[in-house]
Amino acid sequence: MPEVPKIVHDRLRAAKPADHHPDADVLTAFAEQALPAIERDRVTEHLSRCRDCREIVALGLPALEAVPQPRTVAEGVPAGVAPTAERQRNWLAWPNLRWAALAAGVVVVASMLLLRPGKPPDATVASVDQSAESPVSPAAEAKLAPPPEVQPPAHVPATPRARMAQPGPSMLPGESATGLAGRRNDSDEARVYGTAPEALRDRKKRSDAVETDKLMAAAPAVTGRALRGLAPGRTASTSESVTVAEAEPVLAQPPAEVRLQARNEPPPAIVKAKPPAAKEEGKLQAQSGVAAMQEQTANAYSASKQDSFMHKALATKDSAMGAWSLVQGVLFRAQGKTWKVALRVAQPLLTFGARAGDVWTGGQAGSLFHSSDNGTTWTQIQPSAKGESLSSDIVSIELLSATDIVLTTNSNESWVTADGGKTWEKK
Amino acid sequence: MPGPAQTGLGDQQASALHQRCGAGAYGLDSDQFAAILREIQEKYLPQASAEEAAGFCAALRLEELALARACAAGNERAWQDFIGRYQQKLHAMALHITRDSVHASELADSLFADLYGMSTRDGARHSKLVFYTGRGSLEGWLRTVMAQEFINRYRKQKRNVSLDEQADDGAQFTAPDPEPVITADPRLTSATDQALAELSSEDRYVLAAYYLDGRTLAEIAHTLKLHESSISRRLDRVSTGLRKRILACLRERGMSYAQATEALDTDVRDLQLDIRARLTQEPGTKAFPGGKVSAPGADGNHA
Repeated sequence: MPEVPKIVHDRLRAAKPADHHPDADVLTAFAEQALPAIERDRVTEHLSRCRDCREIVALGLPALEAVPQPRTVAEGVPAGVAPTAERQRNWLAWPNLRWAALAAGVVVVASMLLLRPGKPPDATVASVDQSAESPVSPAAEAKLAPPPEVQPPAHVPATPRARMAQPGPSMLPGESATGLAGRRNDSDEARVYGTAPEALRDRKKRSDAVETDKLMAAAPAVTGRALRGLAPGRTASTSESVTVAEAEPVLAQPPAEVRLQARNEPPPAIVKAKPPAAKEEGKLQAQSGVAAMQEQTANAYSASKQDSFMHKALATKDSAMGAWSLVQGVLFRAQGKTWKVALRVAQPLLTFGARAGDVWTGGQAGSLFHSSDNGTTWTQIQPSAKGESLSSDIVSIELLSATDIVLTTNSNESWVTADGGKTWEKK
Repeated sequence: MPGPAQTGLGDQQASALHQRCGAGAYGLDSDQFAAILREIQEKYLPQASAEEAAGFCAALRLEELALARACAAGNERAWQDFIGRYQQKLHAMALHITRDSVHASELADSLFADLYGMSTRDGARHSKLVFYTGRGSLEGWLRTVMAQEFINRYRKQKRNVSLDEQADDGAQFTAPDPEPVITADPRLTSATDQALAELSSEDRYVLAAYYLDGRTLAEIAHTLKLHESSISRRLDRVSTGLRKRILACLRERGMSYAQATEALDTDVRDLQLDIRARLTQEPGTKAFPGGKVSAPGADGNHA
């Protein structure tokens, strides 16, 4: 309120009433607005000059709030204590509601910040970045898995959070998952079911996604280090072998958490696959965590798709010559109770196909290998057609016959050969 | 020739009002009630015509007026009704005014004794209810009378302070009466008076109640039956306009704008207060503390 000059105070104080003081009746009528206008102005004029009458009028007014009852005073209750109903009304008064509204706003903003969809926590991304360079414990791996409560549909590769946290099919060891998020989203969003070829490609994509999850889980433990010592494009015939007996108990008894997640459809192939543990690393425990992750991922995506890539990759392909398995970008061959590394190359292998001793396997950057002697020797093949070479990731290999082979890439390309790989045609 | 216009309340009108308010139930007949009404009309509208008087009397609180006058006359039924209606309210009013239950009881009992007429004059009880005229509600009148009584008691108690209490309050150390107030520039005084006189009476009342009495906006609004925000806006408007008007009046009296602003912002009483305080705290020191100093060798008694 603006302050008036002190001279105004002085002159107001010095003013004296010109007439007699109004009696109590008139003052009462003034306070009750019962005076005619002329008489009211006269009383107001007197009041503006007479402090005593102003005091009487002010004291004679009824209380602004409820007047405390004498009974309350007699009972010793403080006079300022209002009845309960009034106190309840005071709680609903604006000064209190103002703070309640402010608190509600803070809660809403905090909830929006905490539950903002589509943004992975920084800690999760960091753990993925570190996973390419260092072994990941089962506990850390479990963080990357889809939550147990969420059972994504078969056509959805993963939850958005898990998809962003996991590397894509073309992810190299050490490549950040965040850098691949855009590519993953693009491929996922383009998935529309329509004609038969599109449905086939969609299945390939899903296989790609599952394979990516598997590679993500496996790369930190084995591939990241094992592939580091291999030259690119090296054709390998390795003699590395591990015994299944050491890894079998761990794989046969997956962690309880994994079993809970597999309640929908526990694929028997997981138990049969028995991916070999990296004995040379001496990290059976880590391997068991990786295997658990693989099983968890496989259970999540193989519920309704018998032909999914994960199911195919992890399942043992019984053939006349043995069983094959693709784990961590490395192709294994089962011989009796032991697994042997059949092929390990610089580019992680993503898929394989076997038919009566004729084995084909492909991976990232168009790497394609063929073995006609049940995996003893391998030959790298570079498909090309009309001057264009295959450079995309091979995500599917279908052996229609001994000579008819169809390759599918992550860029929806189909490379077909009708002569066992000598000539190729891009479709 | 037509006779002179009838003034005052007619008998028929008074009788009608008597029947309407039910004063007969309290032992007041029509003539007594008509006399009361004429007395009131003569007090407030001495020269009113018959119609004006009838209208004025019809606007009175006749039922409460009859009750009060019947109580003043000593009617038992009226007293029963009065006690039943207002005894509890009197205590509540007193508590509202005094904010103290002890003083409230004392004030309420004292007022009740005055209303009953404990004092006698000319051999008859003299009740305070005889002064009620029905212009406002009886309850409001009781509050106003109680407020007057409270203020009178407060002043009386303030005057009757014992010497011991004065000593406890440090009255012996109080400064003597202040010097005559140094008046401000007469042009400033007259300009302020002129600006205040140009305001409406209600604006001046709001200014005085807020700045002099320290009333809150809610209290002022309650008095004038206005909204609190209206009082706030009015105070803002009046304060701002008053300053501008005083400045304009000062310029009309020959001051420049700078001089008028300086005169309005500088209050000579502040300077006066500082000087007075300084003089009070530092008693005057003698210019020559050692008494009269004689010039050396003046009396020729040099060693």
